[in-house]
Amino acid sequence: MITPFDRPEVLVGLAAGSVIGVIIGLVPGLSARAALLIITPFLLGLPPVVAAILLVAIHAAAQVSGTVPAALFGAPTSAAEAATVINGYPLTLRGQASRVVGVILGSSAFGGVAGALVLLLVAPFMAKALLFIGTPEIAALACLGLVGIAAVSSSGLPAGIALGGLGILCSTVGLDPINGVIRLTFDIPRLIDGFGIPAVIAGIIAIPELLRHEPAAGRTRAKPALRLTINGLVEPFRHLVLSLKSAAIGVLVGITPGIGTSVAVWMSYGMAARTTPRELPFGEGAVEGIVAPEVAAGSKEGGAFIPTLFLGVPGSSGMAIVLAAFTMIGIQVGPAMLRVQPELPAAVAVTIGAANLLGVALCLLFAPLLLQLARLPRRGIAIVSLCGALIATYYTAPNAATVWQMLGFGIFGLLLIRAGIARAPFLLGFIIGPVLESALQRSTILYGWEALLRPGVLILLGLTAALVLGSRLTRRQGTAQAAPTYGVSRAAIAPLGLAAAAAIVTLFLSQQYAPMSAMMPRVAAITTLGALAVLAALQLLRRPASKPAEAIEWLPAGLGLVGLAAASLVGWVALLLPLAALPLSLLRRHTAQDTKNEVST
Amino acid sequence: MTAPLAIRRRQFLGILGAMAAVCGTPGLAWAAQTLRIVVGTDPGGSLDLSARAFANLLKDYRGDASIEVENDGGGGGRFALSAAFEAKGKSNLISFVPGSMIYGALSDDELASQFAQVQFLGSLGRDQRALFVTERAGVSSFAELLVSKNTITVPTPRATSSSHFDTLLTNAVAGSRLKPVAGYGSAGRKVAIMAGEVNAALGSYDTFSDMVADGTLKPILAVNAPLAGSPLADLPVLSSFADSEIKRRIIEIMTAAAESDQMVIVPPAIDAASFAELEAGFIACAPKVTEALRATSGGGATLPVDTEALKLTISKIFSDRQLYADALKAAVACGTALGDGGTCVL
Repeated sequence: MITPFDRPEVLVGLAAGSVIGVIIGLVPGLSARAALLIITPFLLGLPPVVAAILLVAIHAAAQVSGTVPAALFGAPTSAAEAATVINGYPLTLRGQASRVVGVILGSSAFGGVAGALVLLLVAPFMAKALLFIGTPEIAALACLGLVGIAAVSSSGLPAGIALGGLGILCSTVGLDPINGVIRLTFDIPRLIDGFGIPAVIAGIIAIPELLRHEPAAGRTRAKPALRLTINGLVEPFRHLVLSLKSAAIGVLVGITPGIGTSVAVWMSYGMAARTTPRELPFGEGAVEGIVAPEVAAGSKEGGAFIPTLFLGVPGSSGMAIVLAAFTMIGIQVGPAMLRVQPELPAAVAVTIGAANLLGVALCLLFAPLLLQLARLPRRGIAIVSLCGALIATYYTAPNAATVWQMLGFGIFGLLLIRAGIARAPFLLGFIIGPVLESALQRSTILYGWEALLRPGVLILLGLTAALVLGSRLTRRQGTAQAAPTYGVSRAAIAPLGLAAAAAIVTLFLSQQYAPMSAMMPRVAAITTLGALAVLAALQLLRRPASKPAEAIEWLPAGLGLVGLAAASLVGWVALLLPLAALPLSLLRRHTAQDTKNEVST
Repeated sequence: MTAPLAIRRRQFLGILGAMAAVCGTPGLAWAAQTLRIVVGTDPGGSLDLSARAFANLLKDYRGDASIEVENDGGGGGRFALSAAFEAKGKSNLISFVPGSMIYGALSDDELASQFAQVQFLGSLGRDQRALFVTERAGVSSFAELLVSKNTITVPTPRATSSSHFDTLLTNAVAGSRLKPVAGYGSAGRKVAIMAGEVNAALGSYDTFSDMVADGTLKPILAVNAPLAGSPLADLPVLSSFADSEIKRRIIEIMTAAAESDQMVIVPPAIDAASFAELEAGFIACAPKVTEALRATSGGGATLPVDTEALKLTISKIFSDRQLYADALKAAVACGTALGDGGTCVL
């Protein structure tokens, strides 16, 4: 039986777990899941209750600190981190690193505590409600998430929809799990499992962020200021409605097995972009773009414990490890839990809440060190961050295909940045696309058109419509960000041309697939081409204003990327990635622009 | 304005050296004659757990620590199979691949060629597979299911998974009308069963034993022959419906896939002495893997395998590959038609 926290060894387990979790979270490339895998073998020697508390504390605390290094150094290693980095890193470059750390910690802890409260107060009801969330509801939830593409299309709706369609299209590469058809792999065996999410994130986010030309107004070497960090901790309370909505999204996704943290995070991001007025555009340092994903990520894990504890069904990949560990140490979960260990959910909830708060306190101790590192000149940090991100990504799937994917998406990401086109729609489509396709197909097989009459589906589709209408009203009333310009510069020809080419090739190749397998790639391709046609028409007819092309240091960027290709050919990536960065650093020394733009404080 | 702090060459080489020291350490390990164990699934799955337990036992058996376990879960195990195939003649690699590879290998020339050439040490576990139904299915036995007009839906992870193939092949052999629905993760499958979205399940008894214990599921058919004393011993066995040569071949394929749930293979063309050494290590450690997993996982470990019989079955299948591949193709088409409400006789 799990007892309350009146035993010293339990408190020690909680504290130790929080410390271990925070440290592992601060290591770039290590996730909460990795923390669990590392620690599980060592649990056997501990009393079961201490082991359980230690495990839960590690998982919760790693969640608190995990995104901080990614946001400070611009190198996300997961799709969930990318949503925070996309605004956190630009804000760091604006000299607000201290605030960024506080916002991340405060938001993550807000979400973690919110998830813990749900687990504590309404978990039995939620566990029963989970059984009403079927495949059609998951499809409707995915639709709700995809609507966010419109909101994050800061470079205009047509370009955003085109990239969202391209993202969905890219997500269909590989084996169609429903029908067993291999799609769009061009006979490359390593693409049978599709594009690797870590490689896509490294390519679309990390490489362009770290190689882009520094803004002239740019980076300041602001001294770390603890008061700014502490001030950032309360940011989720300043955006209380946003935080509560994000927490709700996180819990809802968390209790639904089979939908990962990245879906919760990006759905929350899209929701925030759609509904929240802000000072800075999303993708350029909007603090709301940090609060929303971090709260969702924090609350998601509390939600994931509900099916894990009450039904014995893991709510996430991390929960699968927790479940295995609980079984190993003799903790009973599932329907029998309420009979054998009824205090378990409360103990887990208290542990999550306490570990989140302890994690914040511990991170405040480590924060000055991280902030000092973030003050180092960006170029030096960028090279090391880039190498670190690429090595961490490589080790998720250590083969040459991972490097080529990083290269390819890295080039595409650079082209998008150069054209001033938002990358978030692509990621939204890439992450949510597979969930939508799988759920739609299963829903069609199991329910047919009757799926649309299910109460949960009607509620979610109604919510989707309400959000779309609500955001349009907000824009008209002038309380939200002004509608983005839909003009694109000539620099957009390259990336949008690639998107069009991919869509055309897909339409051609999809003719050989079975109808159900061809459906999603075709819909995505047609959507992409349609949106591009609308964009082209608008450009020709209205000649709208557009963002100027952003300068990219192509020579050093290109040499750096060629270095990566050489590394993959030789195969000894771990040693050659730093060598690939060598020409990059040597060339940067002699670039006159570097001297002009250097700013001192 | 400060001078640009581009990293000086010496400093950069210092960083380079530090990163190489950290990142190159695995490389140094590889440079020596380390025994590599390649697992054809992602970390944390049952095959991965078995492989790691085996690796630890093998380290003790060999008296050295130069064994490295790596995961290459892509392609449903095909890359682990390819790793073994491409290490032709080398005795420092063992691959663990899932039994469902047999289905893939029968359908893919390249995989089949690799399968036919790699050497088989054995299997760490035998999967006891069964068909289960919920109360919503409206049937309480396989005989009732065969005449029922209800749609019986079976959740499966992927169209290439063992449970998906087994569902279609059960239709083809026994004339049932099970409808497999792919795209469910292992957790999603259980929730779908509990929620009533689907009304049956087909797979390993170990996977569903907790749902059998609490009455959510009831086993009604043993897909492969159960061992004496097994909870499935009193159930009808699918092989009893095999009344033609093609159906008997299908049963052989299904049995081989279930028996070789955790296949252990080594590269082709290894010298006899090295192969004998690897085989001795396998024979010494494999039986203990089941005990090791039972001790840490609290039960649910797989059953022992008759390695020689399994080797003979797999050898027979792949020496007459075209015959078995054609039978599999015909059975899948027949099973799909039956699942969709059509008719077919194999």
